[in-house]
Amino acid sequence: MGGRALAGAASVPSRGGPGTLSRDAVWCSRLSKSYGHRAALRLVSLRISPGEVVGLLGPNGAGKSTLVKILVGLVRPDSGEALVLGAPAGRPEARRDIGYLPELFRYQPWLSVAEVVGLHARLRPVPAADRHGEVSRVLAQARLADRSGERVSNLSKGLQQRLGLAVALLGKPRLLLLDEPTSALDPTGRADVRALIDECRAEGTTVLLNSHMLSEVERSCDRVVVLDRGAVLADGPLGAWLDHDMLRVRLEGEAAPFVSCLKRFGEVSAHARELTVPSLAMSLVPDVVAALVGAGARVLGVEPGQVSLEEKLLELLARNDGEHR
Amino acid sequence: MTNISVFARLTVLEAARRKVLWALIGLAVLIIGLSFWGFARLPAVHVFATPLSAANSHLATAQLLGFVLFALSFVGALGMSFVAAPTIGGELESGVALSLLARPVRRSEVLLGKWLGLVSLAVAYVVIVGGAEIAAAETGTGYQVPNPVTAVALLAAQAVVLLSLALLLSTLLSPMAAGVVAVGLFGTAWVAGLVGDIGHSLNDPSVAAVGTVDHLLLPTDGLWNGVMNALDQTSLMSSFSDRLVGNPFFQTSGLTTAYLVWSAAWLIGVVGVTHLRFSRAEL
Repeated sequence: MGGRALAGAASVPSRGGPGTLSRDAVWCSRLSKSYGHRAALRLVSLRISPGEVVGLLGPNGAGKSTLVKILVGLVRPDSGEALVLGAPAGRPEARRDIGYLPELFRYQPWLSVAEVVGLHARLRPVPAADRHGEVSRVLAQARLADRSGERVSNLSKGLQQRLGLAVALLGKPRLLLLDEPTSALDPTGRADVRALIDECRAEGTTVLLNSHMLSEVERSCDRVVVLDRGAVLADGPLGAWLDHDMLRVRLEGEAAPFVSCLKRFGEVSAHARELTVPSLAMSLVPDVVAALVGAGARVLGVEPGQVSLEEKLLELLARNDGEHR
Repeated sequence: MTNISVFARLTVLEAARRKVLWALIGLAVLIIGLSFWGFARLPAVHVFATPLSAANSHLATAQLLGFVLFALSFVGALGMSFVAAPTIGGELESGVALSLLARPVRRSEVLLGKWLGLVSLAVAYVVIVGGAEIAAAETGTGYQVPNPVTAVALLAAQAVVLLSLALLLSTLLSPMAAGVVAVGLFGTAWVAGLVGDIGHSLNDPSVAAVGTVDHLLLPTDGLWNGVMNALDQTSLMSSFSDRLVGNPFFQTSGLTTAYLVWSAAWLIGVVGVTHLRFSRAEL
């Protein structure tokens, strides 16, 4: 199930030839996973090209973290296939070039910051000759250089999340999986993460960002995948979500009687004294006003705007909720 | 450095940083110090104004040595169980394992590394502490332990069996429960072995069978009997055989090759099942 594709959205992944598969950073087909009787993922298919920055959205329990854990090999799917950087998910080869920041970020409290990063540098593995320099680089990138000697147990939650970022960035991975990377960070930290994602994009790193912070996704991602109830609900470029120009028109009286006169402009909705015209080119605004005045409406205000990612997501989830009732 | 050695070193470092190593060493020094004091005073003991005969002094030394080594092995068992129990279960529960297992390492490497780290801790503890205790007995009383290397080796094997069991339990239970169950099983096995010894001394096969089954299910007490046998002089045993029937700190027969093979197979089986559990664990 590829989900509801938006304008210009990626199509449902097809297996294609081996050459096609190996080019994808992430390729999954019909992944399903249940915990007892609860289905965490239902026939999820997804394809992420190298260099893409993809936002994974959805309500709590939608299956986002399960999907990420399957890609990292921490959870086995009940059925379906997943390839990560060309290798079957779960195999060490698939984890060779991955950076992963888990939602539940915990590191050995009895090690120092530099020791934790050093340990992951060995396991990554970063060549011994480059290890010291690489540890220093990622600590500086995560703004932890001055804390390198401190025990993890002495770090605040926010600093531990920065440590998680440093660990994930080790060895410049080709695929970065960030599960709620800013949940414990202050505004400066969140800005730093955005800057890091921008750097990764510039370097051609593929990023899968699982976040409830929609403003982050809006600013950082090229594409958005929405999961709900374990299934892909929508998948498409961010532009397809945000470029919808819309128009709000405030009237003197009830708006509902004037919906019919605007039929030719699309699916117009009325709420109290306000009409909303979605996906409207701004050049048509005078025509809308003229149609309303012609129908006898008294127009008090006209406000062009954009559908925010949050509005779009809530609308989509509400519609899906309605379909499941 | 291989991934296995990385995890082995990490396990040893954790035991040191969490002060488990120092606690074990502190307790061992205390027990060895007190027992050396006791051993040193043993030759001067008088019974009804008569000094102990050499044979009686050796008998008391052998009994005390067995008892002290049991105390040391119990301290070691407690320490190893509480280090081994959280080493996998604790990391799975806390989330530390999430980022480690996302690296290109095999779970078998993680498990083997941790197991080797624990084994090296246990063996080092037993060799140093057991060796020091035997030396203290010999220095204080002149009692010559007939097979000190066998005694220490079997004591180490007992510790390895127990820590492997704790490691397996840590993949099945919460870390705290795994530690408690491992120590509980160690104690239960010792008591069941004792019941078996009493059955042997009373020539009651059904009671003696309790010990046999116990030694097969969990070889800690079986190996402990081997330790006792390695500590006791044969001549001493024959002189006092009538007074030593059913005594848990004396053992007339050594371990058979078949039993050693069974113990090794048991160990491999437990580590194998632990690997199976750990490799299937989902986080």
